[in-house]
Amino acid sequence: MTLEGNFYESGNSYRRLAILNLDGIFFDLLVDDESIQSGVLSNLSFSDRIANIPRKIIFIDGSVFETQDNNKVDKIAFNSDKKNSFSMRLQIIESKWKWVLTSILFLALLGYLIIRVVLPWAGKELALIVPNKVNETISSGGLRLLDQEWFKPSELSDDKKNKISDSFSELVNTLPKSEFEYKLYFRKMGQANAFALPAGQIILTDELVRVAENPEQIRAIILHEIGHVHHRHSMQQIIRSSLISVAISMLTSDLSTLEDLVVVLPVFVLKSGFSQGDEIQADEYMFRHMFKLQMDPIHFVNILKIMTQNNLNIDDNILKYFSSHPSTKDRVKEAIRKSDKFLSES
Amino acid sequence: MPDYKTVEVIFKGKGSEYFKIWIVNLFLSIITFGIYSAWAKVRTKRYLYGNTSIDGASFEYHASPIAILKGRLIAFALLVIYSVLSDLYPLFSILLIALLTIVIPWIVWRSLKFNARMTSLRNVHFSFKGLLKKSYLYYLIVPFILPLLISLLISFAYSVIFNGFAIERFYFYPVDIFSFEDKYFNELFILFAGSVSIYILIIPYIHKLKIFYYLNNSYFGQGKFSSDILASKFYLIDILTFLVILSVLLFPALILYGSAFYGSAFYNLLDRNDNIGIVVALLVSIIIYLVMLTTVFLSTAFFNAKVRNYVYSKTKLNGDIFINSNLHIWRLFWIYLSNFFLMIFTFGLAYPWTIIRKTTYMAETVSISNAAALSLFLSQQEQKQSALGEEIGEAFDVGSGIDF
Repeated sequence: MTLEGNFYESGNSYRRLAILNLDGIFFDLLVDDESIQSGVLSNLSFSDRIANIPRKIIFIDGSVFETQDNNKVDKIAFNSDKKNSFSMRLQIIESKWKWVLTSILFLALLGYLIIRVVLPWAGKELALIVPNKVNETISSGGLRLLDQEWFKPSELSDDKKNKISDSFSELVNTLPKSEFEYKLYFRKMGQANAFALPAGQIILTDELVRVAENPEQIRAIILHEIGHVHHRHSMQQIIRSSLISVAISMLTSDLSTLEDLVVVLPVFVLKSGFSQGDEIQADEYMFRHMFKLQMDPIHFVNILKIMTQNNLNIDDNILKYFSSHPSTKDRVKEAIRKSDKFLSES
Repeated sequence: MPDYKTVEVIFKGKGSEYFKIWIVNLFLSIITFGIYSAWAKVRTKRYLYGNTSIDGASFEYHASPIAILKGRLIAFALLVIYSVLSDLYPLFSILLIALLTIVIPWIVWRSLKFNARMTSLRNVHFSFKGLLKKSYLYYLIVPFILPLLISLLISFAYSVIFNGFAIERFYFYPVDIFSFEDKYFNELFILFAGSVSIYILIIPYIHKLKIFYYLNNSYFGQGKFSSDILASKFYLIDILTFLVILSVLLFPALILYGSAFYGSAFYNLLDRNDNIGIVVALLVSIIIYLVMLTTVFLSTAFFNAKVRNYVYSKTKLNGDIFINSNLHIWRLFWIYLSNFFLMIFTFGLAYPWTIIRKTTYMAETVSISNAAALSLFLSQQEQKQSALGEEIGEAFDVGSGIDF
């Protein structure tokens, strides 16, 4: 077998055209038709093949013969150099689309499993381990921040507040004992809404209290928010998003800073995907307790309709995919189904 | 006049080829819990180096995966110790960061030596012979300790003149102002604001020092690289880059300003609560995002192209081999921008193609004059290098600041 290429003496950049003759046991290197080196094949070592980069055959004295003829070198190297077989196999894997496809499928499956199974599971388990002290720290800090940025002091009359607070404690007393201490707060914000902080603080906005038609509607909302606390959704969210950030920074550590901009987008989409599940779970918690308390789930439908100003299509616009709440329509549908069930049972 | 043959650097890597290597690397790295990543790194580098050639001779990367793996394992252990300790003792983490700052020059120095030594062209190795103490000078003393000391002195002078601080008590001055007493507020402010502003003012100078240190201590065989770059040019480039950022941001500002005059139709659109309002709001946020991207990529392209073209044009090997680079700002900008969208729309799968596109352009804009003289070099003997510094540097994300 004959290879054509360039010859460099050990540590010397001077290049000469050369021919390397090989016959299975011996080699003979010719430069200008003159034999420069010869010996047994086992004295040669071969650089690993990667795609089609030039191949180097290294002689014992450190001189190098460089050739483009990868296929011929493969044949020789495979027979003579045993340590090369590992890298040969790698090269075969890398050059076959079949293997490449397997890798892609595996990575896609792994990614899916991590997002759908591992992250939610880890979030749930870790949220249970986190001491309640942490929840309290986050909550008090969170409430302070919200007070500074979004909230104004409530302008409801003391009478109204006391009435709702009494109804709240009555409601909480019917719930099974838990490590959370539920507390009610009133704030003004400019929008009918309710919030739950991880240690059990429930915040109602003045606007929500004003639009509610009856106490049952407010109680339905409170139960929904308690559902968030009960299932530790905030903590799960914090854990999941930090896990995602860690995972993404590990996976993309070889990307340059410019490409890091890409990373922000999926994180955003993933996070909102998670909280849709959380909303449904909080709704389920609410329905369960409404049944126990003999409350008709239709109250939830009514308050939801009022909050979205009777316009149930509001979530059905283009922003749906970025919204953290599942489509209001779906939730209302489910609540009406629950209400029918409630009416038929009672 | 010798035969001055000018040759272009050629990069022959293909996206499809590199994609296969990359995806298999990723796959094997994951199923081996990261152990294979050392092999992956070597294969990736060998692919990129091996496809880059000057005058028909390609570069070669020589690091052994085992050496990389050893370095990586030690670096990983250090990283684990670091994160555990800083989680358990938050105060301790300040100490660890200080410790890291002190070892950064060593990490950079080791990694420069390692990477140079592991690279060869035409069977001759590169090497880096910079002194460790110079690395400390350029990576620790000039950028951090000097600004701190100067502003400490200014703050001390201020205190002596306006606050009646006794000169003899100089040695206690740092302790005193960090007692956080109200009367030392101005002194502390001068110290912090002073250090930060001095640091910002000397960023171009430090940039120049680092590149100078790297190039003027690099060798190809016995041949020495030399580069007579000037700090003033770096200042000019930085100022111009700043102007580029400003002018890109000026566009949307003008449009918004203009639309405010043309009646409130535009703002009415934004205020609508239906789908039209949402579409307009979305369009506005998309435009803002695009302006942001343009700012980032255009200023980066401008800065990188200017620095690279300048540094290459001032660099020669062995006194008679000249290097030239003519990166075009808009083409570089286009590559950054299109690569970014390629990454987004393929969920990162186009990563190998983006690298190949960038590398191809970076290579084909470099030319070497008097390339024939490249045949006159001899490798220098040097000790074996471990990959420790390089891998610690990667684990802790320490950059040498000389990528160009």
